[in-house]
Amino acid sequence: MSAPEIHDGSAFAGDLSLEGDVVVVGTGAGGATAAEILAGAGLRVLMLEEGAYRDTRRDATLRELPSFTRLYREGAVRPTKDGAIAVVQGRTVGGSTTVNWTSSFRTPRQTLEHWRDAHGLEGLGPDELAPWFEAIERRLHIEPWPDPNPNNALLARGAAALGWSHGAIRRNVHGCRNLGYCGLGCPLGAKQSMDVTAVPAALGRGAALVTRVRAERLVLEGGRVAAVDGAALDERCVRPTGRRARLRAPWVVVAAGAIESPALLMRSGVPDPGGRLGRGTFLQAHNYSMALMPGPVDPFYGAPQSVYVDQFTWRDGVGGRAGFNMEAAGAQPVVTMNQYKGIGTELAEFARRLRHVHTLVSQIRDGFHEESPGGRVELRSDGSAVLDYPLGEYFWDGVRSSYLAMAECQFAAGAERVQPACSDAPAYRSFAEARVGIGALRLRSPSVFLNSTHPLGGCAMGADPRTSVVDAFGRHHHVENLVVLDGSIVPTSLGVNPSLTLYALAARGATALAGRIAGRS
Amino acid sequence: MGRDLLVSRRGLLQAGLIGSAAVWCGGALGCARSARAPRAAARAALSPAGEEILAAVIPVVLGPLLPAGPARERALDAGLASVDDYLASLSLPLQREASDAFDTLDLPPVRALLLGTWQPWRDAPAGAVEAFLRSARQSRFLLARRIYALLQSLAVVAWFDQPEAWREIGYPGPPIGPHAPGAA
Repeated sequence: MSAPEIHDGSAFAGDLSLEGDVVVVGTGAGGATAAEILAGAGLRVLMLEEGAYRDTRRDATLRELPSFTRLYREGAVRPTKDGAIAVVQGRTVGGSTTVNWTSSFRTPRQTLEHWRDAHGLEGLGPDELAPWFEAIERRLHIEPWPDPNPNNALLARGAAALGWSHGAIRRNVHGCRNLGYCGLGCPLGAKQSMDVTAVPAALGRGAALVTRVRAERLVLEGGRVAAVDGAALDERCVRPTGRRARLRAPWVVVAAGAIESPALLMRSGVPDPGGRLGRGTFLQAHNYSMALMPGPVDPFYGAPQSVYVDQFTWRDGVGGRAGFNMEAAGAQPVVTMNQYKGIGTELAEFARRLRHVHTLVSQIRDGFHEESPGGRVELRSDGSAVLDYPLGEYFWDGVRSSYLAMAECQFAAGAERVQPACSDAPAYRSFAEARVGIGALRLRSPSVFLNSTHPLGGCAMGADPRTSVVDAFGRHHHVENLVVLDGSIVPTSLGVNPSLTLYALAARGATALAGRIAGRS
Repeated sequence: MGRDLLVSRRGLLQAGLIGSAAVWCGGALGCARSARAPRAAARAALSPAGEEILAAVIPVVLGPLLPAGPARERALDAGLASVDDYLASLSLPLQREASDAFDTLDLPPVRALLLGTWQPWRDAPAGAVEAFLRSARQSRFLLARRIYALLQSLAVVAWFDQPEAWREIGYPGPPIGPHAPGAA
């Protein structure tokens, strides 16, 4: 067997030029899944990735900051335009799958029905997607996790005491030893992320991988994409080295993720007569609640997420008030303490009880209501992308009700004190006190700590070319040989963690593309 | 001190943090900083102004968690090196934004208004730095709250990433790898 073909942009001696059957921009959930399927169909696939190809089994220091700088975009805190929300995205081979917490959910029925009713998407019902979900679940060993750590067990205890709907999270792991360092890149290779599954599989079938090259533009000729042009980057994947890469193929799959995929199409002048490109970018923004428990929680160890609460996701109907799902969010000291917004003695007292800290996260779904239109991707003068995501009353209502629910759950699980992750909020000693305090809490940014590990949308699927960018197979409405297969194509947030949805949609779209290419040759 | 003081300073604070003005002022007043000798090794991304400001802010944010004596300087240097490595991984537009913000906060008139002293950040009384941070945290002005969020967060992430910080907060370290307990 020949060695895998990998071109590292930081080591280019000259410009790189490659030709193949399909270029795939991005190696995350969408791109790598597509690459494996297309390479399996006998096509010569050229994978392009801005990040590096790191072996997290050998490379992991299990220190947080160096992991964030190596594996994530903008050190895991890509700010929205007004700085209110930090967007967390992987920038490495495997994309966000390399650093996610493995939580795997099928797309909720409510979301799929809304897509059908509001966006005219046919063929994406729960039954129609079931075979795609099943194939991915087998491929990535997605199974319920039987061994919740204390952080998750406390969530289950609180939810059970309150009679809330909750369940066990399924995870894409194989040989997991429950260490709890998923967010730093699995040191065991147990997480079935794309860097250890689909990418090596595609390489084994003759695909090429170009790393540390930033896709700058799609070269359009005669209404088709003729090539993808990229800039080679230095070791940190930050500064262009001056070397270039040009990848040519008759078909191009864009899978650079929300924000970057629409930005690439915008920079390239891809036709957008409806003005939809970059619009409808959703974050399912996350807010946090921190509790001190009487016994040790040791939040830094054990699978970070193994229990979910869906009591509030759809409680007011799909189109009602902002709903949210709730999960545990225990992690190592940098992530945990970065949610604590005090200083001095106050911070020191909290930090010295870190072993007792219990953290919950709520993910507030967006895109299902007229007051929740999502954000808009803009290009800076240098062509880089920034997301303008304004926050309104509808959103803040979701923050307040989720702060209340998380506090109620934590007190029901035995918390001594609960403090929303907000620099304006004090610690509360009972739920009665929290109810009054959170009810009156002034919600404003950036005092409310908000981030998002689920950026989605910007190249939305839809039946109508005037109101969407691609169809349900990711085919671009106006450029015949361009397909988008990643988180950017979903027309709303999901109400759950997105990875499994993205694998399934990419597998479905790539299989259709392989058939389309075979039909032409 | 506190809230009212920051509010009364709002005109200058807001005007001063407008990007291009900040860059221009930073250049024009650069001599005010150059009188101080650079302290540390060359940084990849952390500007001299950023280093001065964080050297003042980190001890106030971390309070009693920072060690005393000579270990304190070493801890501070390790934290600053972590911030530098972190900033160097950001995209160039964000690196510029951070650098502009630091330059503006280090302009002598801005410094004097925020801290109530003409001394450099590093030499300012801890009480003045703390009063500034507390008023920025609660401020009704978005810009002041963003400054608090940036400085508090950089101090926190820089310190808690240090293995030296872990013992006091009860984190035994990663179970495997070079920072595991008992690893060489």
